Amino acid sequence: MFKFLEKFREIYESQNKNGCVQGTDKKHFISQSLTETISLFKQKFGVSEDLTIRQMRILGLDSAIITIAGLVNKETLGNNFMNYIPTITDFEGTPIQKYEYLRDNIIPSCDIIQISTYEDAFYKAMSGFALLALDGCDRMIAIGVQGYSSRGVSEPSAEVVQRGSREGFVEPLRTNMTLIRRRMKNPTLKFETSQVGSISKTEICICYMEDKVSADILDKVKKRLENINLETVMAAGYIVPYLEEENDMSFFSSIGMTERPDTVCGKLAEGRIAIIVDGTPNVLIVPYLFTEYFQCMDDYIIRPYFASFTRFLRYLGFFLAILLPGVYVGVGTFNPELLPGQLLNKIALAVGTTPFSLMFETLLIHFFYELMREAGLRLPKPLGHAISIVGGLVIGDTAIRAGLVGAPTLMIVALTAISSYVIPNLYEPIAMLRFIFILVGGILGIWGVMILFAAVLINICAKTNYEVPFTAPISPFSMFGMRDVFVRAGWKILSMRDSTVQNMPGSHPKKPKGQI
Amino acid sequence: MKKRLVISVAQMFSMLFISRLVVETTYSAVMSEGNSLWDHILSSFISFILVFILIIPIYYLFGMDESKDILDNSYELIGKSAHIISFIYVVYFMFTCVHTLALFKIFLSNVINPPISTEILLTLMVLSACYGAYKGVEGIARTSSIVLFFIVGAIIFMGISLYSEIDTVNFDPFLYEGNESMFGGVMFMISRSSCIPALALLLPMAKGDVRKGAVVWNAGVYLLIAAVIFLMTGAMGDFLQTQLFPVYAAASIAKIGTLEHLDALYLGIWTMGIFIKLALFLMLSGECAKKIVGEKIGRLFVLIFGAIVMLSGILLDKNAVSSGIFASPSLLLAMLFTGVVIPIICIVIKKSGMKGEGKKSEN
Repeated sequence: MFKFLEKFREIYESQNKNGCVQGTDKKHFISQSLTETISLFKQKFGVSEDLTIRQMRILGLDSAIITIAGLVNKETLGNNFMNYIPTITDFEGTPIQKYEYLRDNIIPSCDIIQISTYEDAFYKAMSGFALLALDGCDRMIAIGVQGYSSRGVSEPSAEVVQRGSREGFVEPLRTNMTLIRRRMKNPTLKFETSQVGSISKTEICICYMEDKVSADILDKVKKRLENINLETVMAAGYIVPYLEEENDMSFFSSIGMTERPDTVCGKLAEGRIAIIVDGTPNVLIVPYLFTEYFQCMDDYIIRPYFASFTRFLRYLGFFLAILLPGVYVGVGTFNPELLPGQLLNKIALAVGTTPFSLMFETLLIHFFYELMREAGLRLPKPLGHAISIVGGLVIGDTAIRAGLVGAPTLMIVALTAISSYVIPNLYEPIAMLRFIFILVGGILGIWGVMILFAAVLINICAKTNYEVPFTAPISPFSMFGMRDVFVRAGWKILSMRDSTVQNMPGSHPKKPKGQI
Repeated sequence: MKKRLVISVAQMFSMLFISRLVVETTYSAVMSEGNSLWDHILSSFISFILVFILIIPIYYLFGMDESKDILDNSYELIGKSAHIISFIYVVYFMFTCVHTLALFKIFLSNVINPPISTEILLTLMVLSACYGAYKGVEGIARTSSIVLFFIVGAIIFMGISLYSEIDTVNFDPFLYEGNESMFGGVMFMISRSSCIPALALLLPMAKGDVRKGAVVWNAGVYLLIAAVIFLMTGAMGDFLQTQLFPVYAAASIAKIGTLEHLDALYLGIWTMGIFIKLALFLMLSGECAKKIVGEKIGRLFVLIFGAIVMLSGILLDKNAVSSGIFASPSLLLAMLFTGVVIPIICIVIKKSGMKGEGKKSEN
């Protein structure tokens, strides 16, 4: 490992001599003078209280342990280094030889990295490493003693399952990597880390199965990640636009997001790439297909016939959530003859007693509903319940009694709201499209709704990401691919053939070695 | 030249199937100037055979070089003079779009008469179709596969619901009132086969067995038409003769259990079909324009063509759809010229060129 680091350093130094600078940032090599190094740290961190520099003498050399308070585990630091200092016997040699002696014989930690630039030193210090600097050495040892407090592994709140694992991703990247590795004990599973965000220097990790992933897709993902020119990356959502196709104007995203390690592992086995962003429990999956929005972990655990039934409910829910209010307004306003007589009478009666048009009434209730949802989402839980009660009473009961809205309209809105929660990952496009469909239904009737639906359909169908059609395997169609779309076939059928994403119909990326 | 395989044969024929279906489900005795729609069952069988004959030149030309469409062949044979050919195809495809839009306008104003401005609806339809055309052939092809599923499902559903309404008394013997209606039907069906010229451009884009696809497509279209005519005649009898859009009229009397007024279903699928057809033909116009003005600007021409189609559709008199340039003979001539004559000319020039080259190499 150290030979590799030495070689890396040599290459790096030779690049520097030739005037080559990696990236756009100029690197500053560590000075041999400890005083200079310490003063540089103090100068950079200024009044910042969290910089801790513990100066001491080791092997007759002035030395310092540099850490950032709160990011290191003091106990681990003690066990991995500090406790060994009194046991160090004298060693004769140059500072570099003493440095190597310490590195190779004294520090017991597995996680040590040699640092040769100040930029790396700052980054490692702020990532929870302890830096050991010796006077007369132009390099430092970074000892992995990270120990910042973080949320423990718990059930993901947004993707609850009835049966199956209760573990969800958390904020620290390394913990998330472990959660994946624990489920995929295979050396072909690779983790590659890099940084994004010129200021935040957020660590991200590309995760894939070497024998499953398409080399083309992997290259594209890496290139797109390299092109991220953000200053800060605080959540996975920040980098989503950079992973999508250029000029992507679709309502629907072809980048999946999950909090479940088991879901990620399933996707990795299908040739997808997962991107873990440090500091967020949401892991990105690329490429992601439209049909995957309707799949959930429970589907693969319960019996196929019931899983297929729930799939049907989700697809139905999607169409109801988007179209029902628009169709209701369009038909009720312009084509009431299309409704069965008795239903028409009830709607007409309700509309006749309310002061607003059907379109305005529906828009109004939807708007109130969205207001309540937003308020309930951001407030503490007890207050959220209060909002629900107030909203239910005010809108559900009082508004009808006061004759402001009709009961059929309220029922439609309620049904739509429930339907939209069947596919929570699609809530954003559903909510926006619903408003648009209501407007179009109210202005142009069922005709407008149908034309708009066709436009939305083409918007979804024309979408291709990483040369994989977003609507595969529905269109382009694959009979075998359909085994996990509208119905969920049994495991014997599901595992019959290779199901990597690059084998989807209409996909063009190159297949990995060994795949036909 | 490498073949541009961007869509599958199934997708290509889905687009063409829908494009044919939206026009063919508007057949009526009124529009085809005949007396008996029942005789159109015979028309559909004759048209079925005729379409096979008419697509032979296009398939032959395609077989000579599967990487080239009709325009590539023209440019190869006559150089930049082929801009004229591209222009002819642009005009034909836009003409088809205007005809389809005019049909939609008649349907809106004569049959539905909605309390909404038809101009706004037409504008929305063309704008959506322009968006579809701008998205390209892959997007349209994928959408059409899904729409086709809905259309076939809806037609089967309507068929089942109408089956109980069939009265055998409504079936007259074939050609009871002469063969005029049958020939009128053939003329009507063939003249509106705008898919034949479209094939000339689409074939090199399709991956798969294009010959088998053509058989399934043509047979599917005419079987469906024959089945629809059978159901409509059986369910509606003489009442059918007075209807401008008999399929819509049949759908409005269809019911299954508590579900009544299946015309809503017809409205939905027909609107989606019109959208696919307009998007496809606007896209093809754009493809032709690309040959004249170049790849970059050509894409913008979809919007210009869309605006022209929209204005023409709005300004066109609602009664003009079956007269003047939209009468069957005019449509037939335009279709024959773009779908049969131009490919034959290309084949002849290509063959003579090959012979010339052969003689040169012999000398």
